[in-house]
Amino acid sequence: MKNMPKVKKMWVVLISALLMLSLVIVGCNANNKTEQSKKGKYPEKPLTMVIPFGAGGGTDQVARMLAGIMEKDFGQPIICVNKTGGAGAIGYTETANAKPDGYNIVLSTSNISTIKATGNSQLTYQDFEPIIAVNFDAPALMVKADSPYKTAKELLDYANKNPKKLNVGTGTPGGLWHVGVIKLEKEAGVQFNIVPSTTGGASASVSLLGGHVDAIVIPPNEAIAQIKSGEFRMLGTMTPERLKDFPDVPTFNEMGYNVVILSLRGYLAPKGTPAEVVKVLHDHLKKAMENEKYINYMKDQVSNIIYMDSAKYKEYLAKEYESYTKLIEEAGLAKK
Amino acid sequence: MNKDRLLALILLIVSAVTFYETAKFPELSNDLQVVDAGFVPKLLALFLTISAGILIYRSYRISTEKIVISLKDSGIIRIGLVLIIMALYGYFLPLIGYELGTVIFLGVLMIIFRLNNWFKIVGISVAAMLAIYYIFIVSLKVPLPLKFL
Amino acid sequence: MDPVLSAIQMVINPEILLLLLAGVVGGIAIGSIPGLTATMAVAILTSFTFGMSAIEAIMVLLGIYVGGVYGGSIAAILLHIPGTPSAIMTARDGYPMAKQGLAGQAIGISTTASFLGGMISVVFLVLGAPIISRFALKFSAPEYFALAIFGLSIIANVSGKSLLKGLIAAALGILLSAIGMDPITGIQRFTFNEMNLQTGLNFVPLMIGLFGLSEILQQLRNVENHVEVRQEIKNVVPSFSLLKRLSKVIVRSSLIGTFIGALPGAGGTIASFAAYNDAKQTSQHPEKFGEGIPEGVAAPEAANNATVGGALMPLLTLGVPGDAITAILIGAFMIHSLQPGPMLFKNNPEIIYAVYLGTALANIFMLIVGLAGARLFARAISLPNNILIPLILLLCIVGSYAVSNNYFDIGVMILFGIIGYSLDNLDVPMAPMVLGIVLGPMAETNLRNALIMAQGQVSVLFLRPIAAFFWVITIAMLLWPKLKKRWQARSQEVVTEE
Repeated sequence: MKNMPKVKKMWVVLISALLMLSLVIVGCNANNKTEQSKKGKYPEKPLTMVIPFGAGGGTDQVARMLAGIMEKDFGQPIICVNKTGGAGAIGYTETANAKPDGYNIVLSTSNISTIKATGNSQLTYQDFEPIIAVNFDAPALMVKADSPYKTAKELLDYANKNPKKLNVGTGTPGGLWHVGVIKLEKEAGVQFNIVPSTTGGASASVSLLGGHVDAIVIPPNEAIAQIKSGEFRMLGTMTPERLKDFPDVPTFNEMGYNVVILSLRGYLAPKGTPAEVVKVLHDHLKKAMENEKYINYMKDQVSNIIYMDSAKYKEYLAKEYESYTKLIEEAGLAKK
Repeated sequence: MNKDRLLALILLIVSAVTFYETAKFPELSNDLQVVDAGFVPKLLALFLTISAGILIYRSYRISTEKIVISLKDSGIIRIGLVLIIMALYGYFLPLIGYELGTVIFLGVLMIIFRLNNWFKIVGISVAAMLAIYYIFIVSLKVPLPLKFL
Repeated sequence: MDPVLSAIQMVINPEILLLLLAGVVGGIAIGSIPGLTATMAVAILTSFTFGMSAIEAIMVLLGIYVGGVYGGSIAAILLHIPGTPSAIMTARDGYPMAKQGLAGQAIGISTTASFLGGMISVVFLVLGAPIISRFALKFSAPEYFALAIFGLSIIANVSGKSLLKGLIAAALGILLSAIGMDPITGIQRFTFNEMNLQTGLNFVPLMIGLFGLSEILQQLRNVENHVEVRQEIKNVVPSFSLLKRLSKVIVRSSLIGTFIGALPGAGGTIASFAAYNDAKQTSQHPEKFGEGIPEGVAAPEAANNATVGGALMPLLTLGVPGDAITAILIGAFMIHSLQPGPMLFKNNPEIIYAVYLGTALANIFMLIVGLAGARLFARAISLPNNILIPLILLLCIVGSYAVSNNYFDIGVMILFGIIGYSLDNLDVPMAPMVLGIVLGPMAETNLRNALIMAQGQVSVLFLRPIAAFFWVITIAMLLWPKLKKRWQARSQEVVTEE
């Protein structure tokens, strides 16, 4: 009890010290603000770029690369933030709820068109202002070089005669690559034994390398080392047109199966972000996309650059949402 | 209350919740159900229920320590107070910002722990706040909410 | 020119060495801060390396990798907060040593063991990478399931007084790890309509709560009978006789770490558990484990640093990642137009040798920095408790937030602090719970994946040779202590008869 008065006195001192400190800091800050508002033009503070997936993944690399290039001309720092969870839902929610002032954007994937159907979130593209589309990946059917199947037809013929005999590995369950395999089964009228891998496409390629599955369906960029060294053979891609880097590999579309699966990446801003700010962001991002570094990176990754402006991207998202929702229902992966 | 009986009670609640939740898992039409999503959790819940039974049975045969929770215990009060302060700090962090929140948080804790040198309290709080600011926010770009810096 | 020579030329130059050193120091600093893991450090800093040349970038990242894996042990020893998940077992004996005033020595042992583990794994990386990584490919779902069960059998050895309570803790841990989206079907399990739970509980805040916060709560409870510990900080470098005593443990642990590191589906955390268990099993004094025995620090640290060399094997030879960090490293290679895998050996062999050399040098730098810093670190916890505890609590909160920049994780950390404290008071041990959390998902998903692959045939789990091998050693390990006791009793009888 003896301590009581002392403690009280300390409180007074502490609080007054804190007040003084905060006054000083506020003072400094106020100076800063007036300086900045003189310019009075967007951008006048750092831009937050939300990455709805983990550090080190494909989406993360694309975002950080573009941010790095764009920062040089943007005039303000760009802060990349990984907000992971719920198949991207947490990152999307964060941006959807942010102030629509142009300082919050998210690098979206085609998950934006599936999270509602799979029950991860209620958000759709309609809760955002699309800015620009930057790249896409599409899955391909691959086998090991020593596999007996030289063409997709041979493999599908075998599967047709031997239902559930072929083990086909793919990415995360319920993800787009998985949906692609199911769609292929339906279109070709065959049954595989599908083995999804919980940690994504890269581990599916490890299973194929180890001979634990007969074929895999993942995008080429998750198995580049093996494709380039000739250990894997691509039998068909799920793109609308043949890949530039692999002109000999046919698409399933031209084989007569209507299987087109694309995961498109692009930037979204919260609903209500002013059009002129979206324009500024679009122009900066477009310039970053044209940078040699980005082009080379995409080439090395066997990934694909695609450019869509805000209006086109929005149109695309509307179509994508409709078709993927149907796909997921067909595949039996929809929740309620 | 007897320690083992309290543990058994907790385990029974956990397994009841598990059984209740697994019963709600949807039936899926696809082929991924050789062993379904509820299999392992149900197995574990069953194990916990049996363990709870063994614990209760044992508690009547072997005497175990009793656990007494009393609000007169100064240790318990101190723990509660610290936890509440931590929760408040976490809750108010986005509102009052990292800088002021952190200095107040550290200051209040040091006062509770009877550090009687106000110079140290303020100095250490501000120094620690700045150190973490430079490590986390400046170098590692962790987006803690800032109001001033 | 000979690729080995050009690799030496590339690496041995002041600028590159400085970058490597900076990476190591940065890695140690980040690894030692609770909440910041080596994985995060490598991921975040990858983007800073865009502007560098390929060799500069690789050296910085290797330095961070090696330093970060080691740095996790520092907070584990000093504060009972594992800086990275693979340092959980280090806390088990390191923290009791610190409490006895031997923090400096414990860090010295962990540094030396980490160094030796890292170096041994580099030797295997250079000599055996192609063979070991081809062998690692033989592991598929049934093998990983058997490996996870083998790992879970360690519960018997870390349960303390009551095996039943150890098993209860493990079961609770596995249940906790089931929260979130089911990895096989994608349905929500135990998420209670909370979006933040959809991808499951974040491991790092959970661990900070269970180990760090609960320990502080325990101290707060008994603040009256607190004794100030004087840290003995003179002899941080382990003596030759101690090293000789530890050498067997370190070599065995390094082999375990190298091999588990090379498996694309297992990592440093499991390696450190397995090595600790192995050290305890083969020790003359298994009862001293958990009370602050040097072997208990050396084994997990040698193992988790040995996983670095192991994880680089599939990266360099096959182009597939051995763990989360090497997955990011592959991206970093790609940014600089280098394609890890078989083609790298053909096109840029000098880069491979540069990686060998860089990893070895990073380990040497780590040894020097770690030993030099040990005294400093030990002094840090000599601060009076009324200053130290508020600072630790602040680190717990900020570290939990930093994991995924989410306030929810602060709540998770506080909740698990309370849970850890309560379970501790109910005599439920923490280590089996963490084993359950780490190995539960591995066991469950691989069990279910194996059965999907085999279309429901249970025999696949036991009949494949590698899986069978793990089942046999699991059973042998569980029976070994009993056999040993019986055998000792019998030999004693013989002695007394004479």
